[in-house]
Amino acid sequence: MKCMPSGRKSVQLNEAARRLLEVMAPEGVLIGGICGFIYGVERYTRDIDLATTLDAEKVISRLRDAGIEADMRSSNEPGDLSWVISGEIEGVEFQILPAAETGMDGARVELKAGLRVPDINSFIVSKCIAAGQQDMHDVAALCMMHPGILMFAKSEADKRGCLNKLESWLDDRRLQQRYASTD
Amino acid sequence: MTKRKSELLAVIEETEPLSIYQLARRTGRNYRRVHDHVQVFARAGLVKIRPEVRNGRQSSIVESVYHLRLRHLDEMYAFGKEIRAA
Repeated sequence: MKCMPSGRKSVQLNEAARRLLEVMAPEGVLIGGICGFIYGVERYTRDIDLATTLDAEKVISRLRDAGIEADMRSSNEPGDLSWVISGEIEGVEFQILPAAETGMDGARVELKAGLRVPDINSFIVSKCIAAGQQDMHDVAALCMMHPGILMFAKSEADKRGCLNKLESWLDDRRLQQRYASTD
Repeated sequence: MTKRKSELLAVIEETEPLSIYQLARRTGRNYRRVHDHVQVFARAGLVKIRPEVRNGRQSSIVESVYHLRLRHLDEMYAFGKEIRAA
C-alpha cells in the first residue's frame, strides 16, 4: 500500500464518516466510495454517502439535533431518488439517501473497522442500481478481488440493464493488473 | 483456521484498532494466547501490529486490512485537499 509524503496532517475522512454514522445510528449504513475503499477499491473519494431507512424529515431532525445543517432536494423525475439530503460534517461533504431506493432496505449490515457497511453482495446491488461508469468500475474491481461473487454481480447487472458496462470494465487490462486476485 | 482464531480475527476486523491487552479483555481470553494468535495473523498478512503509547504505556496495536485501507483513504483525502487548495 503506497503512502503519501510523511509529515502531512491527516484529514480524518473516516472519522467524519464515523461521526455521521453515530448521528444516524442505528438506521444509517455507509455506501459509495468509502464503503468501496473498505472493500479494497482504491478510488479517490472526498465525500460520505450514507443510506438510511429513516424518512427525510426524521433525518433532518436528527441532523439538526446534532447541530448539523443540511439541505434536502426532492424529485419526482423518473430515475431520480425521491430525496437526497446534503450537508457538511467536520468539513466533509455528505449525502444521505433513502435506503429503499438504493437497495439498502433489506441489506445485511456488517461492521468493518467499527463502521457500519452493507455486506459485499448488498453493496454490489446498490452499485448495480446506481449503474454509472464509476459504479461498474467498482463492481468489476470487487469481482476481480473476489472471483466468487462474479456470477452474482453479473446477474444483478443484467437485471438492471448494466451488464454491458460491467463486462467492459471486466475486460479492462489496467483494472485487471491492479485488482486481479492472486488466489 | 480454527474457530477460536476466526472469532478473534472477526473481532479485530469489526472493532476500531485495539491493543493485544484490550483484545484479550474484549474476548475474555488469555493474553498470551491472543498474543500468539495475533502473531500468526501478522505472519499471514491478515493484520499489522504497530507500537503505540497509550496512557503512558507501550502497547501493540492490532490493525486489520480494513483499518489500513481507511488510513490510506484518509491520506489520499488529505493529499487531494492540499492539491485543491494549492
